[in-house]
Amino acid sequence: MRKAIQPRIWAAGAGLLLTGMAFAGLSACMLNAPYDKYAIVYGVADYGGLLNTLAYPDDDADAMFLLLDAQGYAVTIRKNDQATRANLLGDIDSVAAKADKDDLFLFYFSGHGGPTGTGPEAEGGDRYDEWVSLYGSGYPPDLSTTFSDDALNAAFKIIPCRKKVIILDSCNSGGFIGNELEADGEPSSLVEGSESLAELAARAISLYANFDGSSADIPPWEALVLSAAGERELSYEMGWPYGHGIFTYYLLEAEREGDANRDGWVTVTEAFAYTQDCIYRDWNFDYGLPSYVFSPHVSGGPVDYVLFEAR
Amino acid sequence: MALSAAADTLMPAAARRIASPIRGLALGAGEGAGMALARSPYWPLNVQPWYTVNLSLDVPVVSFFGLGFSLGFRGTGDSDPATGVLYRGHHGLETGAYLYGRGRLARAGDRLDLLGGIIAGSSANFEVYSLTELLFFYPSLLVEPYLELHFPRLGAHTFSLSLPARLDFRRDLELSASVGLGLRWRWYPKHNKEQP
Repeated sequence: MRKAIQPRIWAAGAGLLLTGMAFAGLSACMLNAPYDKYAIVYGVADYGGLLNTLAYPDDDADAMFLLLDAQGYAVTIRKNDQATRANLLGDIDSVAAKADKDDLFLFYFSGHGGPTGTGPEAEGGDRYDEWVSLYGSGYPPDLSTTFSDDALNAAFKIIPCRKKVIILDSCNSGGFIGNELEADGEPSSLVEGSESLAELAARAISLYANFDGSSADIPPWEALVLSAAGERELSYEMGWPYGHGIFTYYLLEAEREGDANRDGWVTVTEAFAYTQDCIYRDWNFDYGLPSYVFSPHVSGGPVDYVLFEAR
Repeated sequence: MALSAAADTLMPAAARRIASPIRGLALGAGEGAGMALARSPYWPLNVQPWYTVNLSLDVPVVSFFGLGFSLGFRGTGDSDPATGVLYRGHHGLETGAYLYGRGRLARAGDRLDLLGGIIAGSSANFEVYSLTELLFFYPSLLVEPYLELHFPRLGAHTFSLSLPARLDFRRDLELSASVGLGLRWRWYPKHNKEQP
């Protein structure tokens, strides 16, 4: 059985004082989901010759559909030539008409993604847009058939749910995460190396001093983004033993294995931690070295959402 | 030391009666736990459990007043996920500097001295969210009234019970504050040497 790599600090601390134990108990209380859950699942393996064909995004979409359906999500799934920008806009409209503010909305995409050199984004943003390629996309990206990070964020704004989760199994998908609060210690590319502890501390202070609540990509208060790879990383798929995108393969396991604090629920952060742990140990070490390593990323910020009931 | 001696010389007799029966530098180790309140601009108030373990150094300026430093580990747990939303737990390093004042409240013969004191200070916190390496920084203000028990037969050791209250200045939360209970052991290494 795999375990998350982070220390379970509450397990160590709960015995310190009775007060601590009492309040720790609050975290384990029941969740009686008083809200509806909606999901849009898109997977594009065959791009009609405009981009190279992938092997598993449609299988990824099928597996995510089964998982989310079993978890009580109302799922709309589209694959390959049905997974177009126009259909996605229509599906967003459909969810927007049914959902309310207390509901949870999830968008999952598996397929091609990448960066564009479209120049600086808004003040404080990063240098590039990233995109996900829907059916009909070619290269260079045609923004009538793809979604950039900013465009995807704008499209989802009409959905009234305050809890939104975007899961992307595509290259450079870390670039969708709002960088203002993405202060995680993971570099945008593992191959390029990590920051030192002093650099991380300096960045944390700088982030505190310069925080203005704005973000150019998808900020955590709009949606929590769980990405397969960093902003300057590729993500990968493989046949046996995976038969999926590597990230999606482990994400599918997170329902059973990802409940790090054993409270019965798998949150976005727990799913991130589980997939990252597995990719580091299994893929990066066995297949990724020296240059195919990659790491999932997740939005920062103080809030997390329940993604799955642990099974 | 000269300042301390001068202040003690000038201290009136009444004040001497309430002055601490133990004096000098104090090394301490403490722990605490309680509840924290968090509210973001986008989500309602919720409660998180917290705990801390830390080391402290109290440096007296005069017998009833001084400054101190602390270094510790603080952990905050996830809030209740009942609505599908929770405030993430976080943990990390807590470095503090504070002023303190204290004096004797009561004495039970040679068996027990009861002291009362209050700490007021600030801390710099470097923490990461649980299960991630999202390092972030924030400062805090701390007020901590405490009762300190000194058993003369234990010599240079005391034990205290405190009520720590902390206000955090987080940039991504509208409110972050905490209250709790604390326990601390202090050792006054020069105490016995100064006693007649």
